[in-house]
Amino acid sequence: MDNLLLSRLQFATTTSIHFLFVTLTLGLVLFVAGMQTAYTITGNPVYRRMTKFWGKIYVVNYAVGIVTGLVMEFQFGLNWSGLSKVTGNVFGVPLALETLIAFVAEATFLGMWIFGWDRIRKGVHLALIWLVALTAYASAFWIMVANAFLQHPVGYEMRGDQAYLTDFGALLANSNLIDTLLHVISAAVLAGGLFVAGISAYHFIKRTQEVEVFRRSMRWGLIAAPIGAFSIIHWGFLQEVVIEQTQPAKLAQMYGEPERMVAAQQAMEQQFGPGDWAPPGWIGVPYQIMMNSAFVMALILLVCLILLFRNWVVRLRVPLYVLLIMVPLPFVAVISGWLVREVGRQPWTVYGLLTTDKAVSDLPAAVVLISFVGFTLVLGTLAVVDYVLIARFVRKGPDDELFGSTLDQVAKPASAHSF
Amino acid sequence: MDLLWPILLGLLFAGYFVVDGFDIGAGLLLRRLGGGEYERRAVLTSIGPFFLGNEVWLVAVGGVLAGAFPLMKDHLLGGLYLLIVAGLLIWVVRDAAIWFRSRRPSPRWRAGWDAMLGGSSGVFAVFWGLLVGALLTGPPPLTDRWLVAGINAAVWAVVMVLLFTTHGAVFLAARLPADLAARATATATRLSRPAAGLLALAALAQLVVPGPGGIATTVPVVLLGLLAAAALWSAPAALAKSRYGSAVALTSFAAAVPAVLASLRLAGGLTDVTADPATLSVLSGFLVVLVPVLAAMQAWMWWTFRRRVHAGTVVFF
Ligand code: HDD
Ligand code: HEM
Ligand code: HEM
Repeated sequence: MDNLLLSRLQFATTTSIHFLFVTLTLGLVLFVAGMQTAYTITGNPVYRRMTKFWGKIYVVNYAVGIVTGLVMEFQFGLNWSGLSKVTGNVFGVPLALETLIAFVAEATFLGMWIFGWDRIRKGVHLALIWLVALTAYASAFWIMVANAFLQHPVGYEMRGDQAYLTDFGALLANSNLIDTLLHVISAAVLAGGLFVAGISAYHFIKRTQEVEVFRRSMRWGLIAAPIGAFSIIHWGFLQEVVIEQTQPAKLAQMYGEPERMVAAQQAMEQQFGPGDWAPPGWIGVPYQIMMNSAFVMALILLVCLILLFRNWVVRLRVPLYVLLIMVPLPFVAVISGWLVREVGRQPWTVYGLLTTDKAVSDLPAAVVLISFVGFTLVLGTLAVVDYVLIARFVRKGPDDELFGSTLDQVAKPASAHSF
Repeated sequence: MDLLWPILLGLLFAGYFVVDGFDIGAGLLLRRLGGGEYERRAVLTSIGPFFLGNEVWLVAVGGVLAGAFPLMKDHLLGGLYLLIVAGLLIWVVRDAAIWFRSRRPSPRWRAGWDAMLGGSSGVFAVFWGLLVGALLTGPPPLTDRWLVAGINAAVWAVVMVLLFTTHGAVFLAARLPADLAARATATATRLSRPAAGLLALAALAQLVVPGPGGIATTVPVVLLGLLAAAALWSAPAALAKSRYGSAVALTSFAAAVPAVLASLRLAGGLTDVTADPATLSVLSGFLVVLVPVLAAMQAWMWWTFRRRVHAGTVVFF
């Protein structure tokens, strides 16, 4: 194994783990904020229970999103030093703005929301969760600006062997940004909606006593999820248009069309000289998984949405099982989609500008092997522990009071290990 | 304009040491100060509301490095690859311990994560010491990625453990419920002298340890280090008079100084690795708005949760 391969594997593993959690964060936060808004407006205690139940799962999920994100931020500098040497003046800008605008604000507000339950005034407390949501989406925006630059570099000028920023606006107007961002956001809405609907279905399967909480949650989830699913399909196909213009070799491999690939290869040889410019052919497989899962989910969710009428979803019972089984699907699709996008960009790190083997840091393979094993073990273990915790919270249902409990409620002075 | 970004970087790094220094210290002291569940939850609640808002200071350091000093980031991270990877992993484990420990009632689960939190906080402090020690001798050479040891780094590792523990104890003395604060005060009092003594020694040692910038940086480095040691030394006196604010201010200053020293040593080399003026001017445009907003948010957070923890305080971690 060489340094390049290990660095790629390391990046792929850590981002995949990060994104599994981030997708749910981005999806769930909308529900938590929406439910808290409903509570603040109507005063109906059911909404309070809903906010607390989904909010609890949200923050437990957030824990791994944040710690994996911390690792992500430093990976560019650790393993892809060529990226900062050649494009640091451009690529660094959205990364810096992302951390400064989004993450710093998001984490501060989230801490205040968690510890502010029943302590901070209602309106302000509600504003806090909306600020968390807003900044989470802001971070998705800026990271996608950075990623779009890798896919299709714009707004720069080469002087010597370094890229210089000439047009910041062009970074934001990148053709590879807008459809993609909306596609990613739709994925989060779908994942969140299906999660909320599927977990509610689980509680109906278990004949829950909390009928009101889960009836309403099911409704929220089943309205959001199909919207997500159909937007995903819309913006997914729109992306193909952009890819055809900016990365023809990727599109050829996505659809496994050898003639197109030959043409793309020839065009690139003319532009960049001899070499193998084809991304790996297997990206067609994850592409099919993503597309077909979208069709399946969109259809089934539409049916379930119709079955909301007269509560048939619950009364027929079969849809409950289907919804529960579908919960992992968006996550499979999300990883598939990223494999298409990132592996399909090969052999470039910055398309047409910097190849992956030039971007990688000059490190001994043994050293990278150590870090790869370390990151994979630690982050992988945490991911598993976190999912186990989420599963426990899901099973326990809304009766547990995680938010707003006070010190004397959770533990008694001087009676060691009482709670 | 030339100085703006290096100063911002130094401030963020120093600020990080101050605020996450509380958390590292509290993590180290969790098991010493907290015999039972109530005491441990009280310690965790003392840092709780600020915990997330504290560690983003380091995220911000990373952001400024990425945007304004792309090559420095490369140099720092690449040159100390394994050390940085270890630091990241320890950071992750520490965070996981805090997030996970109270999520299940099982005493074994909680005791396990408490041990993890104490251990990882300690190793995290050691990491910062090694990094400070390594940076004081100049930007690491990109070829020698194993270089973390050396007497200077080892001394600073011990200094940072003692420094952050004292800092954390003083913070807890100011935040814990009144009946629990006395033990934190006692710990702070016991630790501050050895911590200050060793910090003074480590600072004086910079007279003979070669570092970039020569005598021009050596003099301020040594003087600041001695000043920090004096501040640390006098913190218990403030605690004894129940002047908690002053005590926290004194150890905060001491906690910030190692970051400032490293920044001073590195400052001379920063101009070669700064981003292009066009890039900086875009970033500066955002910064004019961002810095006041972020500062206001942090101030709002500290103001909201300024009161001493008591039985009715909301817990989470
Ligand atoms: C719930 C998840 C999900 C679902 C159901 C789909 N996608 Fe997707 N897709 C993603 C989640 C996703 C993603 C994870 O969010 C990606 C990865 C990178 C990105 O920008 O979005 C992505 C990438 C991605 C790309 C690659 C863009 C690039 O390489 O530049 C294309 C062309 C599509 N998608 C197209 C589709 C189509 C046509 C779909 C349905 C018919 C579809 N996706 C369903
Ligand atoms: C499309 C890809 C990505 C999206 C949409 C995304 C979005 C997010 C979101 C919403 C969070 C906060 C909530 C949570 O984690 O649960 C987060 C955390 C984080 N992400 Fe990502 N991220 C992506 C990829 C990356 C990459 C490639 C990096 C590396 C620069 C990164 C760096 C971080 C950091 C440093 C944090 C933690 C910061 C904090 O809130 O304290 N992310 N990300
Ligand atoms: C969060 C979802 C993401 C996933 C699952 C993901 C996945 C991957 C994978 C599989 C690779 C290896 C590709 C290969 O070498 O064949 C890779 C490489 C890389 N990705 Fe991503 N990625 C994500 C988001 C991002 C974002 C948002 C950015 C930029 C801001 C980014 C930047 C990079 C870079 C710099 C590399 C290494 C260079 C290269 O292989 O071209 N990734 N990623």
